Amino acid sequence: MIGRKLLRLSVAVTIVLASLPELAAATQVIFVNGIQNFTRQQALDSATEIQRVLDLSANHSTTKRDFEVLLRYNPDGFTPDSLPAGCNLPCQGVQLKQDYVELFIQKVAEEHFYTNFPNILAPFDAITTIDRSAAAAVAAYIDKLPGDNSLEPDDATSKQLAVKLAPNAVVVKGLVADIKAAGAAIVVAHSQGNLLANLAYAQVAAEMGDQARKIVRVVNVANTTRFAVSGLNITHANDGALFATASRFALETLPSQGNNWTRTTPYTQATSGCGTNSSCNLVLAPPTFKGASTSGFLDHEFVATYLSTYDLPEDPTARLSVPLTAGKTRFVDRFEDFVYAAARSLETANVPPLNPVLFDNLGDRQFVGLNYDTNGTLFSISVTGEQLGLVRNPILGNKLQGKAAIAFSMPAVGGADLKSIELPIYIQGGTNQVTLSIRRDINGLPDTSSVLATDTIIGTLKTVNAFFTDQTFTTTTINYNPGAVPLLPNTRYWIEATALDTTVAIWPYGRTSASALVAYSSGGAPYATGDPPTAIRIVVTPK
Amino acid sequence: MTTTITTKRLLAVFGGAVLLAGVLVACGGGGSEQDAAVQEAERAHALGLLDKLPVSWKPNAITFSANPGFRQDVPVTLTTTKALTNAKIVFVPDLRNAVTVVPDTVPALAAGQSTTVTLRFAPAATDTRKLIAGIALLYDKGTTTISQPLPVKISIVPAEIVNGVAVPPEPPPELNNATLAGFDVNGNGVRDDVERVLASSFGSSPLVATYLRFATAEQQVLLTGSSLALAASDGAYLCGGLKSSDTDVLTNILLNTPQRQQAYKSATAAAPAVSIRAVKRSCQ
Repeated sequence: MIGRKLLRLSVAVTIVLASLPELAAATQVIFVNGIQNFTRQQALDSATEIQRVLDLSANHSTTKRDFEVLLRYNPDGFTPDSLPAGCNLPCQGVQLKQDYVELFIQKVAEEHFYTNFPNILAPFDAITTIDRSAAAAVAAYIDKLPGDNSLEPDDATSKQLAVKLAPNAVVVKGLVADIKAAGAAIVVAHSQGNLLANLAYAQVAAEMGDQARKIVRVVNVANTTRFAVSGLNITHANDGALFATASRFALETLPSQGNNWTRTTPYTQATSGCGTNSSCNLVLAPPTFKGASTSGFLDHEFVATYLSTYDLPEDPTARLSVPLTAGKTRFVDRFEDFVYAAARSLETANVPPLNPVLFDNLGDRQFVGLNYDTNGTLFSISVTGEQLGLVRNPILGNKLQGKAAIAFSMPAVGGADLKSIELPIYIQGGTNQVTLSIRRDINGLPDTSSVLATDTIIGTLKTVNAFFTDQTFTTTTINYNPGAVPLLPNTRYWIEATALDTTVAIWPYGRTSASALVAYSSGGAPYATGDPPTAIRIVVTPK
Repeated sequence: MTTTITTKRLLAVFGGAVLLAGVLVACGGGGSEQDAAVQEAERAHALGLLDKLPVSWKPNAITFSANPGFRQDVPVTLTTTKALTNAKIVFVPDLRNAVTVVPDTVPALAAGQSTTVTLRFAPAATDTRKLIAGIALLYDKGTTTISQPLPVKISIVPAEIVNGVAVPPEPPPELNNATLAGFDVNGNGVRDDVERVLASSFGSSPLVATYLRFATAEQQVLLTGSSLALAASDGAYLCGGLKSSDTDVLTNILLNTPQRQQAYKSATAAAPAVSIRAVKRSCQ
């Protein structure tokens, strides 16, 4: 027993050594500044600080990664026609107004595509389908001003505004080019930069569809948008530039401030209390952390707030699925955690489909598929995917959405009957109930019309004391009647998990959006100490 | 030969546009005559006596100070109410030694139209005058059309020392802010108003040379948006140990007009993403 543990340890050490930074290509982190970083030098300061924090990787010393930080400078778009005498930049009154104009136009655009964007989200911890046509509809707003608002009453004004906001489109296109050139990149966007990052992501998604999740993750810092592309949103409730509860300058209430900028959008028309020529509030993604006080202006600045050493209290209701370093609670700790989660997720998405050779359980951290036939012989079913978990989807009113799936496929010859699937399972919540479905693959996606089997799993309420170090997940075996689930040769199948909307649950130590963990693969280095519970056994009866 | 040019005579000359050559010859004497001619023109202009002449200038006067040996381009726009053909821009002879114009001929300009020419001031290094003054005129011999006079007055002053740094005089805002480039009379690549702020803010700093490199690069970013200029700016900033709170002082002066802001934004928005590590590597 001790010998086996030593063997595991030695393998683990080998793996750690093999993943030292100098041996791995650096993950590119592209920083897009917001309006507050007006000058290029301020933006360089922010990017330099990101590089310093990630070079240090203080909370990931044993799983340290190499990052190369790039600055995609966003100089803001709108410039006023004239500056009052003696009012060079930064001239607060003028600066503030031009910032507001820019933000207002971009938020109005967002209200035009707000129903499309949920269809292109790609959470870092789940496999979702990206709707390319929806992405194209969003990306169209890179060059298109939204119209129907108080800043664009006629064509002439609109044209002037278009010229003034042209640098925004240039930045977005540059960011798209950066992402493609990197091959795989993490975009860190701050404040207004989030609005541009979303458009850039939409363009990538429109061009690449589901493959987009292989090349980009977005970490939203002080998120001015209503979405978090990758579910990696670091925004605290006391951000005075964003939330009305924090200050009277909040972006949320911009339409009813001062000039009372109004707009008629699909959102206002579909929303009670808004309608036409509306000055109702703009919608932002809810904060993901409780309010904090920092030295940053409006508690919104990138470095002085979001990379600061001030404490950033967790908000259990946010149910983030980002693994947070235990005992580390500062803004800068959270930033590091989010970037690491993005990097791991990006890496996992680029792991090629596994082959049976990788099916060991000794430390490669890939999804473990111990696949046997009924005679107990290893059977060559390949298993891919990251996890079979459920995530809370804020767009669906925080209902649980089980898009995550594991795919397995049969070899080119033969065929089999599915006999059983054995999974480690952790479910915590009101109903402790998850439905597992087997679907056949159609064109690379689980075909909703081809449900081969549906089973309900009742989980056991458990207390998990440390992230993924508790390996006592209940092993659940689902048995299938002979012939009930025939598996064709050379065909891929999906195991898909769903949960009742009423399920309310909390991830281990109450911090994530996932409510149920049926099986999981970290796909790379472990999130924390200890092995994740990654065994899945698929048993088939060969024909 | 000495001649006193009176307002009456100016009007007679300009209004009739027949004795231009005579005026130019008449103005070919000593400095006092030039001064008198300029004063006459200015006075007539101030009284509105010349306003009905068909060609006007914008700006309608050029006055600035510079150090000896200066070079400076000043674009001026002329607008005509009468069609022009092969109109020539000429100077009172005293100015001719210090200024050229590009182009010096306006081939054709319809009534109501404008065109811009550049006055290139570059007195000889041996020129020791303390004041260079005169008049620029546009004359269309074919249509006997003549412009309102454009008075020019350049005071030559020694370089001012601010915090140990020799700086050019403060440029006139209306001329300096009329173009992206602005005034750079000493031709060191830094706009004069920026250079003066740099000297007053950082002249005594050991990093003054780095600030100067930074300001030179930023001016090139503004004018060309080239990757080379951006790399030079980023290098000066990140390698030179500058702080954004300090460089922002210079940037805010540099981008002191909407046109400059817009140009800078367009240039930097289109720039490639910059790798912090790559810039730092270039420091060695």
